[in-house]
Amino acid sequence: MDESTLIKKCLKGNPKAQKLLFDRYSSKMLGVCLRYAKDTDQAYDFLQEGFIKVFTKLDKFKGDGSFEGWIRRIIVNTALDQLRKEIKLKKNTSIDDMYLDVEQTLYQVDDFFEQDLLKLINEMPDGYRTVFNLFAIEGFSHKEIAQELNISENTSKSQFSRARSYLKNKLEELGIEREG
Amino acid sequence: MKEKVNIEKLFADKMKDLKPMVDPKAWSAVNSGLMNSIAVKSGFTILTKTIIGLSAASFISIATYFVFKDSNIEKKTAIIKKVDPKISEVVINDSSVDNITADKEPNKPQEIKEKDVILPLNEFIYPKEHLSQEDEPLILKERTEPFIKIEEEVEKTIIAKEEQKSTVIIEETTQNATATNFVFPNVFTPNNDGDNDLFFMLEEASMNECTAFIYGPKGNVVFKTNNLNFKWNGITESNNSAEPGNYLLVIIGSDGKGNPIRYTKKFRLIK
Repeated sequence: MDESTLIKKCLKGNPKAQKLLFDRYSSKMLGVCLRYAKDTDQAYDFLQEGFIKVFTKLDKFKGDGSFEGWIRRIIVNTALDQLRKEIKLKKNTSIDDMYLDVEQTLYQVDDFFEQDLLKLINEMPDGYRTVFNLFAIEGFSHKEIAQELNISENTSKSQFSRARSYLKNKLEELGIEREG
Repeated sequence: MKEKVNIEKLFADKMKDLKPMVDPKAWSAVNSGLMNSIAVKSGFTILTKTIIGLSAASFISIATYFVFKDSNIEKKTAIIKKVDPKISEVVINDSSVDNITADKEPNKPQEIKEKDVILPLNEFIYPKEHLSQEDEPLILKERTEPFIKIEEEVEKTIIAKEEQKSTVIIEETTQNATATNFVFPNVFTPNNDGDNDLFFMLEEASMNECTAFIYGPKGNVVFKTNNLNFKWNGITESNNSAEPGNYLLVIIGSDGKGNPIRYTKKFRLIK
């Protein structure tokens, strides 16, 4: 079944089509959710809430641009909605405006396993994780992130650089463990 | 030679195509969530239909009115144009309720609904223990702790009793008691030797709306009464004589003026 037929059937409320659509995209979207969440439970919360939005707002999809991208945006928005609340609560303790410069270290992609890296992301503080995801993986600018999370641009930058130095240290530990 | 990349690229490359297995429970949660929102939506459509129906009815009546008043066809079409936007306006208003852009704003009633919806999996993640703990009557929580601490005090009592060779009254240890001056002994010896054979309040109090429970060593209620001036002879509700051990008296109720009373007293039964 091609994408537009699938969407049409989902719009009519066909349960089989809905299941098919979920099966087609849920795995990839869970991958997205896992990056934003602190653990698997939270990732599933994002996924479920996000997909309910996808189905209820399906009639808003105009067909311009990729359907997967549209779903992904809804999922990410859902995750951010939740995270925004949590980040706001911890603003005083975990987000500050100090900007650190980390020197560039180069890594070989094949040296690391996905699961290890995902674990590192999950373990990061909420602020680091969210900004790192948005900047490094989704490719948003600091300005956009600042607007999205309602923080200053400098805060976004400092969170990102802190996240980087955090990950850098953890990657070194990983590398050492592997060699040893 | 293999390409070396910085941290961002490393993570971007590895994370981009992450496709973990999805727990089948996730779909049932989404599905039941959808059922709920469909119910809400159909509620909306009924509303919409009513509005459309009403405006259509009013349109017809207006149209008929004008037709009868003036048979000019041009005017009739003008009215149709006039009323039509109303109908489409209603429809547009309705659909804009769940517009995508609204998703960045906290849309409260909808959020609550969707959280309710996700319950099935949450229930799975957090076992029902959480619920049952809260449902449990407070008395049951009380009983466990005092039992552990009782030993020392009772020993003191016994020593004191031996020294003075008379019935010993030990000061109260009340927990969370609100303005109560109940005085109960902390030792009870129902062995018909004429000493401490009955367990009762040493200073009479007149509290009508209270219930007293006595919990036995196994945590079960062995005695229960609504009269605070009771005298317990050590016979349990199942008509057995109570075993030696640590007991807990709990009194709950109100003082008749609407103030709640909660009083606990640990005592030891010795034979």
